[in-house]
Amino acid sequence: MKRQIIKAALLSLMILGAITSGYSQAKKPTLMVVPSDVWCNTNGYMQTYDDQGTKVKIPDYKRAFQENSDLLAVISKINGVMAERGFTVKNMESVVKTLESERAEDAVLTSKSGAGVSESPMDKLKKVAKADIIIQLTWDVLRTGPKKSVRFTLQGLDAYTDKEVATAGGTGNPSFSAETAVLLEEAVADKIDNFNAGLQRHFDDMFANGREIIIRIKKFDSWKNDLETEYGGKELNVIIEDWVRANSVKGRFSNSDATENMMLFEQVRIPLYDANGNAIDARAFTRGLQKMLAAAPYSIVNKLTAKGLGQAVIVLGEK
Amino acid sequence: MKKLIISCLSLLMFAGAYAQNAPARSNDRGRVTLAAYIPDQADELPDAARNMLANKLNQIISQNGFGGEEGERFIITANVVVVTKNMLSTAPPMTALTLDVNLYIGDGYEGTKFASTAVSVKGVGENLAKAYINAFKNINLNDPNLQAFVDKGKAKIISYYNTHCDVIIKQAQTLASTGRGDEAIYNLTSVPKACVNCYGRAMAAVPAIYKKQIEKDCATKLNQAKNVWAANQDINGANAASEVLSQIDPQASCYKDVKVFVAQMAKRVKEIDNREWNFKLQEQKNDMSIINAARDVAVAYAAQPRTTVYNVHGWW
Repeated sequence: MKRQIIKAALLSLMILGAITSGYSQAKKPTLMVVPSDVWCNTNGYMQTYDDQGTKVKIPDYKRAFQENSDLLAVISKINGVMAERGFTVKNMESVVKTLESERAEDAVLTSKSGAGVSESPMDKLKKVAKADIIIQLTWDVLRTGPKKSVRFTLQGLDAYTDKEVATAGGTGNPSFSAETAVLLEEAVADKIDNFNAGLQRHFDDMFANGREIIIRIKKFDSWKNDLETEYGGKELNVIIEDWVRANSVKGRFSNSDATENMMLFEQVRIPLYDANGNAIDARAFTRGLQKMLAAAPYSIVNKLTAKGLGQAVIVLGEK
Repeated sequence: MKKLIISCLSLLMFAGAYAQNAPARSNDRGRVTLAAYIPDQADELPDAARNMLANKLNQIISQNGFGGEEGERFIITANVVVVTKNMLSTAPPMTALTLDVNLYIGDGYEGTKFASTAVSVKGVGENLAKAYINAFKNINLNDPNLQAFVDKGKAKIISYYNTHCDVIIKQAQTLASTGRGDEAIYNLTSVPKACVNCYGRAMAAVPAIYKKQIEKDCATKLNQAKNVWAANQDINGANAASEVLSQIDPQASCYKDVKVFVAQMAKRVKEIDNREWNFKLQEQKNDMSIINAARDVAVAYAAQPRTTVYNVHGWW
């Protein structure tokens, strides 16, 4: 039994070593632990808005971090364990604070001639806490007579493809006297390895078959053409699809939606490195498509924006 | 003869530049004036956003050479329509708005719309108020459509004065005859210089009304001063009465009575306190000062706090 445990531990270390050495060159996905909407709602950390007649509830993360010490303890525990295993973990509370100070600095930053910082609504919209993989955390305390236990769920969600890449959950051992924070820490220690195994499978798949990204093609309403406009006898949507097929790993992608105004490519597998051995992400990969559309014979002025490592958007017609 | 000289001088004065040391707001006299008015919106605007929108409207007013005072007849107003509103459950939460800001210039008293335009803006912020503020910040004051809208509004206002000139002057005279000389002077001096013909006629009507106004003012203030003095006939009472008397225009015909009253007070103070009391009478105004004084009356009237109820019914 002891020998088996040692074997398993050594095997885990070897796998982990292989992964982390691979990541030392490829662009590392970042992880961030976020309390789930259900947890925020159950614990009263929600803001309610009137969205043109519909009542909308939005998690109030800032207040949750300021008021709930159990949340801090459990996130700290998860972050610690993940960091130990070589993952790049962002602390949501710190990210939010950094964003706040950056916003304030941008507001007061002035050049000598009196110019301020240029910021479009889209720039503002992107100033939020982001990570490539969101670890959604939910727990509640179950009571059976004098005993209490913690039911606990971790969901690893790819921020771009919305796929659940890892999950772990269950109910911890019941206790008469232990504090909730202690029960939570025990539950995390108990479940985190299952969760990490799921994450590792996801990363193994990524190294073997390429990173999975989403590409969206849109058009500005000022552009007189659309995706059905023909160039050399071929519709533009076909030209774009051909490019994605030719450049994705093993031609793997799915064209989920297509109209004359937009196209959505999901599950596009892209290589982790370009021809020169440089690590690439969705933006770097899609830049090839952008250049092709901007060059003759198409000469379509277009705008490329990206969201993290795994999502790129090309808008046709203007910069 | 004196009246004729005053009239001629007043016309010359009003047609020229106003006195340099006059209060800043008085520079609005003779310009096309607009008031910024933010009515209640269908989607309630947060207070901070409301202030931002009012600020934008005031920028439109000042950048386009309008004068602007609260309670003006002509208004620039806005109706904000929320086209899209998205609440994002990010950290921090983000609100994204697309707004159609419909702008109107018109006669707020009669409820006549002169010009309108629509500006589409987008704004993002950590809460609703900030999203609105960021959207209003994006209203481009140099937008050609906005310029055309302002020019059209201005032309309609000038046209209004040219077509309603007789009515404006008649109304002012009626106001003056009912003891509302301040308002009458204000209305007459509101006629923009750009309405050349009407402006000249309105200015010619000002001195007579101003004269009536100072006569009435003189009688009122002299009575007030006499009451103050009657209540306390010593040096302190004399000083209190003199404060009231110092506001009387020396052009008023009852100013000779003021001088008599001042002499009486000085004599009495000498008898009681054995002290010399000298009240420095206002110097006699020249004709140029009369015109400035009339204009100051209008400015003072405009500065009075009052609630104006505007009629924008049917504008949107």
